[in-house]
Amino acid sequence: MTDPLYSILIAVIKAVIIFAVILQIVPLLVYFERKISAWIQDRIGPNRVGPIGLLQPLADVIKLAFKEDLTPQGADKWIYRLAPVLVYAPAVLAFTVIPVGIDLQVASFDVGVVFLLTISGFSVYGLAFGGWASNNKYSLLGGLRASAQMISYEVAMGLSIIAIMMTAETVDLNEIIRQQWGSGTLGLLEWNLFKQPIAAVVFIIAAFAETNRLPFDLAECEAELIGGFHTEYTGLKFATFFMGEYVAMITMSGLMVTLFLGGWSVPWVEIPTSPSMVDMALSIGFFSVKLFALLFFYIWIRWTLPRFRYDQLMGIGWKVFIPVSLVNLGLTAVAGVLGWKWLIPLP
Amino acid sequence: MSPGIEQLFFGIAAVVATVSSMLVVTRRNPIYSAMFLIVMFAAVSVIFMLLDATFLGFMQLLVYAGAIMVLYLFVIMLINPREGDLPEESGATEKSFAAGVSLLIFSMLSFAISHSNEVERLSALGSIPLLPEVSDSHGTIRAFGLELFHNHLLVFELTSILILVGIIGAVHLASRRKNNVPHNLTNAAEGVVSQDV
Repeated sequence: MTDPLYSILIAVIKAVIIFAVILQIVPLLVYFERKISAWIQDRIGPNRVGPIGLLQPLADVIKLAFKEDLTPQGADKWIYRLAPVLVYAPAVLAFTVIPVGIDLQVASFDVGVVFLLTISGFSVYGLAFGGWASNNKYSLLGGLRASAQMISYEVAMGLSIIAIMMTAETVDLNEIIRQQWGSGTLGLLEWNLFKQPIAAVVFIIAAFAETNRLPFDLAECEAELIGGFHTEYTGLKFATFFMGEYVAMITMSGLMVTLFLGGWSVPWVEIPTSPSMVDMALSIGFFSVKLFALLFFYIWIRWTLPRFRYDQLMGIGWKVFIPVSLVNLGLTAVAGVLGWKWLIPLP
Repeated sequence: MSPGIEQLFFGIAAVVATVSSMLVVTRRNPIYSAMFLIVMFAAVSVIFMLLDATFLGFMQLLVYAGAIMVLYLFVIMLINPREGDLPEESGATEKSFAAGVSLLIFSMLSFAISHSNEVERLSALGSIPLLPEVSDSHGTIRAFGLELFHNHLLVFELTSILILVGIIGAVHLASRRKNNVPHNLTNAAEGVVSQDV
């Protein structure tokens, strides 16, 4: 068991499975997005390809794959090709530390949350490079907006995650999940969503901004910038950007589930010390249900709220969310030192 | 990790760091320089991680490669230099001067390293021994925090004051320009530059 080759093999198998599963979730998510948006807008949505339109994503993929792959004149070819990969790869890589079942993740680090923050921050380069290399002013503006937006909201997000790390007194994601478990119906109140409500709200809003989703999709913003950083991209390069956005959404939802919604645990079910295969499957099931609930929330918000203006976005980011999360952090620190359990329930 | 694999990773990281830092200097296009600087930071953080300083390695990535380089890129992209706009490369005199200074620093450093007591002690042992074993807590967030907020508290606080001074200076510079520029221009600048940065 301790043979290094064996552990490398296990890691590779886990990585391939996670990669494949995420790749399969993306088209499903696109389908859900189109169906839910149709439902919200009182339309029918895709219903031509396959039963109830289920094969629509497949048709989309085939269409995108056969599109002509254009590179605009004056574009920087190397960076232009690199940019979509730089959006997609960090999002998948960041997902590797999220526990999808009882103690089950691809890469188990002692600094899991820090790894996730670091790696997901790298996707900003894809947007910035893509916008710059296209040699198009709309793309450049989109890339600039995206990078400014992402580094601004990364601060608020980081501060809210630090608050969670302080209440949990650990950065081990599985340990954070274990601490959120409580028996009985009231065990639900052990979730960090209720222990750290301010951090939870800041985190989810920052997650919308980080993934460039409406109401914060200022980087793409069709009405002003055509398509932002991916205006010039066609075919599979565009598809890679597109998938990167969806994978980032899945990763952020996964992190949200882990940090605030109890991850793979549910309040009524005792966490087994030596989990069987059934326990594993159940925990993966619980995680998936929570994940899809959050993804639904993402889509719901997208088709409900109008887009923010750019200065409003920056204004609330710097003048509201960062001060609020700083105050929250201060309160958590004071409560932690003085042991005020009534303010913030510490372990 | 077994020592062989560790040395292999160190070799890769060291080569990548050296080559990419050379490329930072030699690329004409500043975007490429910035890109290779990011690669260099990543390689250095790998070296940190090989030294069991995982948290420090990730901080290196998060702060330098993830945040500071974005600001660099930001400035470069706002100036948006294209092939024609780039200044002429400096002449042979300046190049040879730069080469001379680099060579001098390189020879000084290699002299200092090869004559240090540590290297002499290690070469007397015959081969380079493995790095000393450290405790499991070494390089974790807890150990790092204790070191920073307990043993080096004064330095830490002084650094934060330095950064605070920098922030106040930046705010001052940004706000003073407003008074000299006509009103409509200020709004434009605010929308594009100050709000973003």
